[in-house]
Amino acid sequence: MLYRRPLRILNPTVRKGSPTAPSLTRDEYDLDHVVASYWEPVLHWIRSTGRVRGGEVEEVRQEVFLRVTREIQGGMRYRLPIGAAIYRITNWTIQGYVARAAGRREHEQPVGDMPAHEPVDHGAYDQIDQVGQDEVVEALFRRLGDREGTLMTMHYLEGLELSEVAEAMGITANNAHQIHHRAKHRIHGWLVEEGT
Amino acid sequence: MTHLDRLAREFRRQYLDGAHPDAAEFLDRAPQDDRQELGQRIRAILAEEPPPDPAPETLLMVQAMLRGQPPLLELRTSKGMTRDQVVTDLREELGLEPAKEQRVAVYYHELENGQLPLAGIRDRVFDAVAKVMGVARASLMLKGPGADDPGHAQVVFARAEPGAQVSLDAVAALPGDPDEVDDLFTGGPG
Repeated sequence: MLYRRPLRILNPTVRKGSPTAPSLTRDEYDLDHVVASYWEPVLHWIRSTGRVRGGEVEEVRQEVFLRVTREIQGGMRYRLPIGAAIYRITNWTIQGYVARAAGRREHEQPVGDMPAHEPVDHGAYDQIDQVGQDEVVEALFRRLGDREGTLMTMHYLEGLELSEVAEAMGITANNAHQIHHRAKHRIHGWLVEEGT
Repeated sequence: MTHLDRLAREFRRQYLDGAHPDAAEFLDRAPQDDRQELGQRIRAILAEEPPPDPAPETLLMVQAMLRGQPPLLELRTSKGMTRDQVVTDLREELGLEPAKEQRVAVYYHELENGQLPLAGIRDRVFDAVAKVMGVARASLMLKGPGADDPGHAQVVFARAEPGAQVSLDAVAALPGDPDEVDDLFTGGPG
């Protein structure tokens, strides 16, 4: 092991009343450790879908991390836990890759020869750029329901520390951590379904 | 416990032990009708468990990539291996005769510099490169950011796939007709 630094996922400095959350810098996201930590899991994620094979898997993994690297270096602050954001980007990248491959075949083959099991998902192109958009994340948080949704919104979109969220919601810090953990677990579950 | 439960459990154990399980191999071990569900279970494990500590080699390659250096080149030099050594080992690992070494060398050069389209490379090559370099296949990093930018590589020689392009100069210099080496490095996926 060369070194081990903790993954600092979010370090919000915005407090109640601030209009927007600040962008994190590359250092705050610990980019090299984020990429190194998720490099292998993302490969497993892609291969578990069975939708791309051989070197295509490496192309997709490359595409995922090119985007993650570019965004973090550009100061992107994901409105989701970093793992959830990376797996979400992975799902969209796979969809986009499969859509492009099908599009090439559609272009090359006579109408009617398209494989029925691999429809062209033109929407995948539009989804590709949505991971950082608040409305997408807000929709995810709304699905969580009142309590978990409120906590995640305050923590990730309004930039409050979990202890501050706990105080605002009138719950203990321990309870806030439990709700946070449960909410992340549910979001991960949706991402798993999304990848199918 | 069902067969699916056992497979999911085995994947989790290997993943947490840092044994680099191959998700595709696990899917192959499940009956066709159960593969989608097993894929979901594998992704659930990945989502639930924190990622294992990355291997030192992975971190080394990532740091090279972020500096704009070819990760595979960084890995090779860190291990004190010459390119000739790697090419010979790679040819032997791929079961190719010595006469094919020059062709392997050209493709390896392209691969090491991130100029070989990954989609065209056969699985056997990824496995062989990982073995020669002494790293897990899952850890292997073959390109850096910008490798696909226009102008980074002088392309284009198109084979079967639209994405499969190899440096024109390097391929044009290869002696003889396209053969099994070309297929290994550009005939994928699969």
